[in-house]
Amino acid sequence: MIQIYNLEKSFGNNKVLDHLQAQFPSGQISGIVGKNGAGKTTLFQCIAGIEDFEGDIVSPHQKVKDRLGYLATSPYMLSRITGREYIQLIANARGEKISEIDEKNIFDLPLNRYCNQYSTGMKKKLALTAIMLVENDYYLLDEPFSGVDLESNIIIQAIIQKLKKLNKTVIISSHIYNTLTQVCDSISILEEGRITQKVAEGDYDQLASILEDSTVDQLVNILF
Amino acid sequence: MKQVIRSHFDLQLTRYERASTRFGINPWLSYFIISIIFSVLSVIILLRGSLEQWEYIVPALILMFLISDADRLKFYKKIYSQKIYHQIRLIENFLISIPFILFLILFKAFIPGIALIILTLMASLFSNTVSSSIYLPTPFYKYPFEFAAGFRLSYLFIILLYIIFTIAAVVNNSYLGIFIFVITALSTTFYYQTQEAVYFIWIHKMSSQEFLIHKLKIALSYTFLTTLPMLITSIIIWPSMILWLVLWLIFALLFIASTIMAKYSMYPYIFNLPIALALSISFVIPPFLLVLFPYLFRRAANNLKPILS
Repeated sequence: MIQIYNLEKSFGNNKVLDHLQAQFPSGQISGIVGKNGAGKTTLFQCIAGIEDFEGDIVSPHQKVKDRLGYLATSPYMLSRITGREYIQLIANARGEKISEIDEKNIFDLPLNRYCNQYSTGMKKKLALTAIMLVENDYYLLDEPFSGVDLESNIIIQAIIQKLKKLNKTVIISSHIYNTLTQVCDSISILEEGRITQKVAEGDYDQLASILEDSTVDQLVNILF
Repeated sequence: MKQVIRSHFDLQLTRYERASTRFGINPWLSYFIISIIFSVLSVIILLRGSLEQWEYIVPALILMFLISDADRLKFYKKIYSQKIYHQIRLIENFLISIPFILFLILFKAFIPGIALIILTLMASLFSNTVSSSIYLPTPFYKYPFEFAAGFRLSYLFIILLYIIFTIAAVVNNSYLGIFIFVITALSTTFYYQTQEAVYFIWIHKMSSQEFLIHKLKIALSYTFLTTLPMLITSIIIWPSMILWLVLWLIFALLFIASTIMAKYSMYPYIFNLPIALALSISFVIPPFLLVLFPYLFRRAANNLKPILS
């Protein structure tokens, strides 16, 4: 469980998160949607402790970051490091030993190739593999489905469902609305730095109508 | 073509001046300070003796190695013709080495001076772009990333150093042998120049102090491993130089440790003139590192605390 109270974050004069309140229970998959620049990634970085913030982020564990698997939108890769070494690096950082990496390479990644030369989807799959191979209780998955092929998307969905069964706390941000509704128990809408609405699984039709923008046609017509 | 090369260097100058201004130092004042410090250090080092004359060319080689970064060179190759690319590289490398060459000539150290000219020419032809795509196994795979990535970037340089060391051993030139040993040890400092994304610090399940000690353990043990064949050979061939070897090794390890602490004390910024100057002073007064290292360690631990707590 992660509880957020009055979370505020600004970059200069730009207030990105504004008294944000949220609860993300364990054993549930929580989705977050919002326009580009709504503050989803900033929210994730605040939860991870990568960004400083004002307000409170509370969890049963004192140090969330040591039990947190964070998948960034564009996972960071280092040059001249192979996929295998990337996984080793993450395991070393957590003080864990990983054996039989090849058997656990479920995405069939070329682990002896330099990971910064991977495609966008391969980088995402490598980063996801690495955080799944170390012990975590919380997962922040920023756009886990984007740039990934269909087969891998299905595997990622299955991984997320497995995390739910293991009673982990999973928070996903995605622009791929259909996939999000398939895996999430609830979806929160992030607008202007606040969670403006939280919709439960049975009410996703309602969410579709909220997100549907009647001005889209008008905007497109301006171009043509 | 002249216009292209000129605008390239004008742009580099503008970039330097912007960086200098950003750090609160007037660019002209920085030129003056750097010239004075360089001249004073050059005189102090060159007055010492023949081993130090060889040691003197190390910073020039290190700077040339730094600007041979594969990504940077790839970018140059993309935007410039082959002819302009080679001319720019030649000018860049000689801009670095000419002040050193002039001082060497002034102190009649002609052989190190000629060696530096040859190495400058070689460095201008040297490109790391091939190594960025070919998978190269390393003995450092267990603890990525600095040594694994650094070794892949500089393996040709290390091979070259081992060849020169072998020649020094064959001709029984202990000064050259120890000089190469020191360069090899110090070259690992540059494996720590990559400013990693905050994620690779954040991911560590350690306090900031534990993280720094973890980094130091890897750096010092792998540096020792890199130079071990040279160290053993030197002890066997030049037993009378053991004290010098040990002292130089301690200096190199302390310098590497201090450089790593300097990096994390400035993180996420790369450049800090006072710390760079303090590290430079340690080349003249090595015991200064005994004061500098604990100071930088404390500073780095405080700087990383928000990321790791």
